[in-house]
Amino acid sequence: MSLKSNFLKVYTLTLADMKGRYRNTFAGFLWVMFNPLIMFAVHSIVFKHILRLDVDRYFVFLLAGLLPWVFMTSTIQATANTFLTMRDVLMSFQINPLSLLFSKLLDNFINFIIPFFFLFFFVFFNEGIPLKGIAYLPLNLTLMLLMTLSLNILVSTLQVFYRDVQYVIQFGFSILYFLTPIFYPESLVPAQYQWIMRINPFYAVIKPFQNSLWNFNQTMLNESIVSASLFVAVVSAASYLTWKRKRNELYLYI
Amino acid sequence: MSYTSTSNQDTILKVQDLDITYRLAYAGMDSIRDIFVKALTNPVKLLFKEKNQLELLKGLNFELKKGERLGLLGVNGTGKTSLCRTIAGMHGKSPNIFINGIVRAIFETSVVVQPELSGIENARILTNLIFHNHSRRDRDAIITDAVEFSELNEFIYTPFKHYSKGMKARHFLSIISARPCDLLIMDEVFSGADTFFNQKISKRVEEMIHDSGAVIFISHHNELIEKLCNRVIVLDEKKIVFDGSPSEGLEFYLKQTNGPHF
Repeated sequence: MSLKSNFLKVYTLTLADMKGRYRNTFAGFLWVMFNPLIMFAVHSIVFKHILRLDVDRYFVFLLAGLLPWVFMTSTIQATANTFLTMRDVLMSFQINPLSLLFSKLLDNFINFIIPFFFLFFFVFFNEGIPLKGIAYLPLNLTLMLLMTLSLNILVSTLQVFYRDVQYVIQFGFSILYFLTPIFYPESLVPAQYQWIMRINPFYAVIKPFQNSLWNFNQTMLNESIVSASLFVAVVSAASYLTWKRKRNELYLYI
Repeated sequence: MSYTSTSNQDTILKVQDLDITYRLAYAGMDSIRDIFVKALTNPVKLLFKEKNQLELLKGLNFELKKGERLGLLGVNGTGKTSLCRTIAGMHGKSPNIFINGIVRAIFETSVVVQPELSGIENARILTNLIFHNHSRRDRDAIITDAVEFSELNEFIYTPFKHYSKGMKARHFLSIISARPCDLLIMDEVFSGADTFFNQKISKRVEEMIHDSGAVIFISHHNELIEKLCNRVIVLDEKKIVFDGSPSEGLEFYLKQTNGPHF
């Protein structure tokens, strides 16, 4: 199948998702846009003003950590059931199940990128962001998208065979939220617990954002990009193998 | 979908030594919780648990030439739908299947892509998904034609979630029957639509069948098989047990199932 055909399918499904969600529910559209903004505001108030966490340029730090985290976790949770909710479509005619996931990812990314850039300009004018670091934003966003897509494929496939995967994921995210340096810097974590940060795939793709936007350091940034790329490669391989192994039985179980 | 071309121009489909087997290793383990409980209560059994396999078809061989309209018969569970899904590439690309041209496969007719959107919007979505290899102009023509043919009138502008099963079937069948293709696969497509529309759509689907290069047709209505097909294959016990004319095929199948109770 040609690239043009695949693009048309993903574009159609993404547009359908967006139209379907916002039809007659402008408040729903606002909620999706405001959700990251509210999370950002609450974290700023709680950790900067109430708990008085001593972190330089805290708005930039939150932008670089919290927002990618919100995007990745909310997308994975929202798309975990895709193959089951889209059963009718999958069972009716030929459509690559992965195109459904691509479209959901794109839909969520569009919802993410608008508040992200809104906050980006807000913190850029308030606290400043190094221009050199901004140049790495497309690469960082690409790594984040690839990681999210790989995890989406893995979780959505497993959800078909084990129906409580989404709850396990939800539980896992609530623990990982505290174990990922997104509202506190990694430097606050004692040395004996640093390994937890190093094995966290979410933090692997968040760290390049922090190293480019918050505490720009070319060497650390290069290292974090290499580390993120390795994590993405491993998770993509696991995701691809799982998909390949389970695809045959997918139609029996949805 | 079009993959691995066959050498003979008249041959639309070639199935060679095809096995269809499903791994059923998940029986009794439908959740992570089940696995967790089994891992704690009997880890040895969990590790060395014999994997169940469901072997539906083994060493299947057949060809479909241009102009052939194949009726696929077999009792439930003999692998008719699985075979069609495999040919349609829904289980991934198979090295045992060779196809000359575009395949279109239809398995269910009450399709809802976006229930919040109107019938016309869903028609646009379905047309883009099914006729993705057609030009924009042709897809527009398909939508106009399908909307008119479906006779859904003002309902076409109401949200799809308010459609009955029959209306959904009308909507979908009007779209898919708009254009023929090289290999058309249809699994029980006439069910769902109301009686009047069934006659109307039957005529149109029959036209599409005759205009398509080759057809694989699954139905539990033997009169439809006899009317639409010029060849019948009967599947049983993982293999083809009959391959021949529709009248002989139906006779064979009826004898095999001890009467017309399907």
